[in-house]
Amino acid sequence: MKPPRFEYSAPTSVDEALEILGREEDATPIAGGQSLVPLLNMRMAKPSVIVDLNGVEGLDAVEADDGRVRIGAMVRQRRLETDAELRARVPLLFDAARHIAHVAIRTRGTVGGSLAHADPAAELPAAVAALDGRLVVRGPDGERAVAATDFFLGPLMSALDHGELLVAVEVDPSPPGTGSAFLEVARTHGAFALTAAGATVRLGADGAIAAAGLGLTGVGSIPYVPEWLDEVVVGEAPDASLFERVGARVGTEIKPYDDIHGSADYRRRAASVLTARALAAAAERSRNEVA
Amino acid sequence: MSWVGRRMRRREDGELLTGQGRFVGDLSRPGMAHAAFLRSPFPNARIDSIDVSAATAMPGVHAVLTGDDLPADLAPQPNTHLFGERETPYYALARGRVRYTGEPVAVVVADSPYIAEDARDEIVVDWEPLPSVGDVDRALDDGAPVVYDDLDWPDNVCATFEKEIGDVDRAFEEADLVVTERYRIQRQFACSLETRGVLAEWDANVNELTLWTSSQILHIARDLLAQVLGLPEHRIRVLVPRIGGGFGAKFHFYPEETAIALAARASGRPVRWVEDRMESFLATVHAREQRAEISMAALADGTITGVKGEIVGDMGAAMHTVGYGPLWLTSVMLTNVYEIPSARVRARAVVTNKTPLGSYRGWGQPQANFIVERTVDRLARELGIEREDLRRRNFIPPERLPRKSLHHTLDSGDYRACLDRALELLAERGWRQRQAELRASGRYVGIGISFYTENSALGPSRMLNEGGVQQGGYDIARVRVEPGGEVTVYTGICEMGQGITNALAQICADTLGIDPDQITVVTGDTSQVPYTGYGTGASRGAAVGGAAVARAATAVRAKVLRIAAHMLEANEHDLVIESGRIHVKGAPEPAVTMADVGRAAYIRAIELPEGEDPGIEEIRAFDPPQFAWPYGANIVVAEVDVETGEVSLLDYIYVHDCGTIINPTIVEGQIQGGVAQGIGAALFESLPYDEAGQPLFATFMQYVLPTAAELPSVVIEHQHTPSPNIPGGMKGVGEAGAIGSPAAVVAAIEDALSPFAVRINATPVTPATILELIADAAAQRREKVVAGA
Repeated sequence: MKPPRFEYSAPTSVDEALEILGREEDATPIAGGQSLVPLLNMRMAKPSVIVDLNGVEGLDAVEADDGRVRIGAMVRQRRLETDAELRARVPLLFDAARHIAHVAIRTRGTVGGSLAHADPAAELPAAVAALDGRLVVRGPDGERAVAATDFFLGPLMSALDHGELLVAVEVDPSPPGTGSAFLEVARTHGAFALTAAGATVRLGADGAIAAAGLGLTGVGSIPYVPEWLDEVVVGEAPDASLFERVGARVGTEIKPYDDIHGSADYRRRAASVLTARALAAAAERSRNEVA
Repeated sequence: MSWVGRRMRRREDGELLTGQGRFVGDLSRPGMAHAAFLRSPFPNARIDSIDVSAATAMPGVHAVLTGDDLPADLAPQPNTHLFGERETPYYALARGRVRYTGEPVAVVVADSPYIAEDARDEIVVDWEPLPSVGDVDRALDDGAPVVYDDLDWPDNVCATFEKEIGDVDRAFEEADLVVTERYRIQRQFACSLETRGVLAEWDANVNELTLWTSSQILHIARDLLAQVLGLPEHRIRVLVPRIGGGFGAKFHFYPEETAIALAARASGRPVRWVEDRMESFLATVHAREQRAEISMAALADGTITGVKGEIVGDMGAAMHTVGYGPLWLTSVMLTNVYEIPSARVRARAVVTNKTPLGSYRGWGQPQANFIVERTVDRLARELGIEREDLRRRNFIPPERLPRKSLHHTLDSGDYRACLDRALELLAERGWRQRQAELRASGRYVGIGISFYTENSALGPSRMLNEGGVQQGGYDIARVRVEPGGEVTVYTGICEMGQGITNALAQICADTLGIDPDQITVVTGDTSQVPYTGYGTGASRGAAVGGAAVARAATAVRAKVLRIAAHMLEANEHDLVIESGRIHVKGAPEPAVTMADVGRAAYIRAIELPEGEDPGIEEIRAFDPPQFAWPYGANIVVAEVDVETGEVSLLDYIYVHDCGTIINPTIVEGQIQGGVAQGIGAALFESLPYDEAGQPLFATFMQYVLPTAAELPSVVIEHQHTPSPNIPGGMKGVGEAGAIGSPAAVVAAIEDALSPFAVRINATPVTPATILELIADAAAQRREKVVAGA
């Protein structure tokens, strides 16, 4: 488990990093290294150049303005848990982050690294998709924003083109009164999700659902976000049968995999249950927030 | 006050916890090179040719060895547990044929592990894949690929063992109830934090080999290496530095130990190899995998009158160091602690194209316990008797111990008192009532019970040899008083994280009347420590190793008292040693110290009695007349989420008797750790293969180990019945926690799911299998309803 030979570069600016990524045939950026280093050691990834982003200026900021929250790609996952202001603005990211591996890994691992890696069982892609987030991608021709639902294309495959770099993720702050929950089934605490569901619910003054979001991971090759969610739940009373109906429908629409930890059928059933529970928990929190 | 029985901090913990411990991977020698192995990607294949020219030509590569480069007279890797099986020869490196994925094929020696792996990837092998078998049931089918077709085996059965006591047929004929169950226990392995590692250095001038290895079997590794290489034993020095966990997997002598020794000779350099995590899943022996069918006969009052067992072990591709010993032990443990007058067992060791099976904490006993205890639960349900009552009714009562069981003679104890105390704790903690309340509120909470005994303090050498084991069961200890009065203990038992040096120091301290901190315990160097018959395993370190230390220390004490008596002009029989001061009992002055005696023994012979030899050093052996049989009750409270299949362990009660306890803190650590591995067996760990024998696992993403987050804090209580056969009364505890835990955890889940009437006969019980079990049970009920209608 020793990596093959590779070149190493340590740019200090995004432009410099982009220049190397554009020039080299198979350069790979490294952020926290929590996925790439094992792949290197297993010799499953054999990049010619590793572009270390840890010294690049300006990628580790969290900015909140004009009704949006922009999280730099190099922000450590751990910060999602420890930054109280960020938690208040986007509580679902806090809920999701707690399921990512272990503290030591979250301390190294980055928000952008997880999103760009596009692991179909990772938490952050589902959470960002549930929040209807946008991934900010910079290339030689400048910046573009890609909707989360368009960014994830398949297992370990994203909309990032050769020579492009994910520099940030943007989400809308959750309005006051929003409840959230991220529920996961994994073989052990910190293991990859067998399946997981992240939900946000905001109840209106009348007690009915005013807004909701939902994203699942471990349910196929990419995160699953039901486009029909608003149509089904907005304006409805947040009762258990509604959420169970949503869960049941999610179960019929996702296309999970079999693996040695559980069949596709198991994942479908668990995803339905977690969906219903996450929506119910988020609604409950919203109710407590409003009260 | 004695030191034995006292809670003491372990002397090595500061070193280990601050990262100062030196393991094989921390060792370096001048000019040392690094090794990497090329392993078979096929479960069964002929090697038509190997081209190493590109690898050899790479800068920084010092040697590449394949099976063709092995010395012509190199012996196969030996098996010391010969229980009447067909021979399954395999070598340090494959010679023309591989029989499992991961089998070592070539070794590269290079300046760095990186270059070694680069060169390994340049080796070109012309493989001829052969039909292969990865499932034991299929391996028994007519027409299945025969793993040893080249040795003209007619089938894949490597060995069959049978044993019978009493009139089994009559017991089953006259029974009021017979239950029959089938069980499947998965393949696992002793996954330790430190993988294996070897560092070898030849001194060509004197033809002497020094081998550092992460091993539990210091002298046995040396002797087996000598046997394989054709060297006299004393030309090899084996050293064992810190070990980061062994759990039985390091009780084995591996091909890599031979191959690295040969690589060091071929390259003329010290060579180090540290098994990487990925290869550890294939290259370290696997364990446990068995299928079993068991029948129990009982009378209506709950008396168990007979047991029949048929166990099939999936041994993988070869008989490793301990042969099919664990499978054999499973079969002869099928009466557990119950007074069952008749039994007939058959064990079949079957080869498949998978990693060879070997030792893991419990050595066949967790399987036996699972098979028996789950069947006793079934019997209780069918008879309408409470599980604990059925066990009480069948326990061998204390007054009838010692008693010959199916094979062994159980020694001493009070099983009923032990189970009763565990049930008392369960009641004290309010679980029966809480279970009822939680169930009423829609939660699925269950209680599981198991009772185990353990074959420990291995063992009587003659009995081992009679059974076919080519090792002794004794231990030898050397104890020396140094010139300054401190004491050094030399033992062949290895310190592998279990804390044995502390326990031995406590025993020695009591015997000599000195403080443990005056005692150094030396382990892990064949040039220093005396021979150990069996090595560090089988829960024997404290019992057999400890008794040997006590004997040697007793002899040392006699000499110390003779010298002190002379110095004090007193009668040696009137003297006592207290905290290193020797004086007449009841009269603290005059006194001499251990330092005074040490000085007399080594420097001032003028102070010695006439005719007394200088120096104080004694060596003694202990060969136990019988095994010891610790025992205990596991009670588990578990909750199941019936929608997701997730299991939470709410409480864990463990009451046991391991004889005299030397250091309760260490004993409790052993239990907590053993239980953790038993929970791993019940819920998490598995090494699945496909039908052809290709592994479906590669990393920890597939091999799921429980973490602290999944494990309950075990509530432990000790009972104390000293072993009648071991001086000091220690029985041993190293494996205990792993034995009864799988059955208890699974029983708790089954109890939690009792509204669904599921029956769980296979492990691991994963969230997905729980939902399947519930669905299957519902389908069966529907079928019954349909059939009834």
